[in-house]
Amino acid sequence: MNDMLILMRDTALLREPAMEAFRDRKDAMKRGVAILLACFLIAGSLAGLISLVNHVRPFGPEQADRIRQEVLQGFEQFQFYGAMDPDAQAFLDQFTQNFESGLRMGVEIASLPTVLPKGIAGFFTALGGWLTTAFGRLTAFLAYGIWVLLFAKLMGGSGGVDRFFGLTALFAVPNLLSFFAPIPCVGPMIAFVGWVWGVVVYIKAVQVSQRFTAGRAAAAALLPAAIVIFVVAILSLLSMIGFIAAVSQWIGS
Amino acid sequence: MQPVTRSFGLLWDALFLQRDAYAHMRDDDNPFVEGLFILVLLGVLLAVAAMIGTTLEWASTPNLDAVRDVVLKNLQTMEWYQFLQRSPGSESSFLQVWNSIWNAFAGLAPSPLRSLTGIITRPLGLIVWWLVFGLLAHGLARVFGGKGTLNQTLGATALAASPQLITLLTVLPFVAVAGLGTWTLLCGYMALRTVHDLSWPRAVFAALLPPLIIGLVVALIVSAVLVVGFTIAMASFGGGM
Repeated sequence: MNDMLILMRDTALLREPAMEAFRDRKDAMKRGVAILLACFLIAGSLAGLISLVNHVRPFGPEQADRIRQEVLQGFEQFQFYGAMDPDAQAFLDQFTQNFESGLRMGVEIASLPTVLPKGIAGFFTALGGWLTTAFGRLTAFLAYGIWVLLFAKLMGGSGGVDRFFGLTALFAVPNLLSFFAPIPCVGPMIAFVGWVWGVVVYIKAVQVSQRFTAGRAAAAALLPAAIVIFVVAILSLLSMIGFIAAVSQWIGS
Repeated sequence: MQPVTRSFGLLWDALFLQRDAYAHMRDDDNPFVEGLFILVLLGVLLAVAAMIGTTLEWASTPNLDAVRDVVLKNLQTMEWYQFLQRSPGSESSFLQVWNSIWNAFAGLAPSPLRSLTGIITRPLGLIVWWLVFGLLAHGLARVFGGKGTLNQTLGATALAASPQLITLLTVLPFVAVAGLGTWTLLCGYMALRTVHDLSWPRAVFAALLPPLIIGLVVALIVSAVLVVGFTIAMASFGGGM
């Protein structure tokens, strides 16, 4: 346990000898995945706790009132910027009416009986969400990593698959900062710092696992993301052009 | 008990891409039987876990019919529904569509009885996938210059099912595990590389092509069924007109 904590500290500080020693371990992937899961479970624990409280507490008229007030406050702020035209006002009135019905529906469904007590059901829902998020991040890490590994191999990388995944899994260590994400205002900023720090650790891990220079490691680690962004941008542009062409044809006819 | 713990030890090591686990299967005196045993064991265990999870999920959620009644009752108070009621025949058409949607939903709702069938379908599904993947991967590995036998390939590729161990988490309700395809692919790659002693690009192609071929065949079959179904529906619609 102490070894793991020392490794996590050294990784966060980008200490190369510690990362090299970890790379040469036979059980690098086992340990790496264990650290990654532990980090993501801890990082999601505050959000999980908030979700637990929300799920265990029965959804009654008081909570519905709170949500109603929040939403209506939002509408009032919207109206503050100027008078709305009659069509928009009619739409807003219709929306508010449907929203009220939706809330009533929510309260009634929440009060329907279940075999297990509501508190236990709520606990299971929150627990399920917490675990699903952590394991979802693990599978996303593998799905992205396979492309990084492919680019690294094409660039002449020489590390084994298990060592690569073991070492790159350590990018989760700085992501422990996303524990603070649910805190209003500063939380998302702290989580963003952890994410950027995690990207730096990931690049360093690619460098050490593939015995690369820093430049090649950065290229291998970032190219898959750059390609995805480029493809999405091109597809968005094409669909936008198609949409504009269709609309202008429709207006013309 | 020893074969069971040994099988899980192999699956556990294979999950983390440890070459020793795949080499053990390759060098086994009967890799096919060992692989079959591992998959049946894994399939039954996954089905039991899913059964427990589904039962807990069913016990934690309200009855679907009661939910349907609440939603419908509230929809009927909305302005658009009252407008619908004024138009003759519209409400009955709406209720017809409404009921068919909820009946389709009922098939997706957690059901302890339905989850019992997993005891047979889960191991069977794993075995069918293993045989199809193993045979295709072996053929491709041999084309790419592999040296292993079919028996060895099937033994080692049985361990490609090891990422399914993660789905044991579904013993807890509301846990969803998705995206294990990449991990399965990595395990398949490791199995083929160990058995056939292939270079990494050849092992990648031998592991990647079978799922692509299977996906293509399934897509073709589904498209053909859809086209035939659509043609029959159009013909009967035309006849009815």
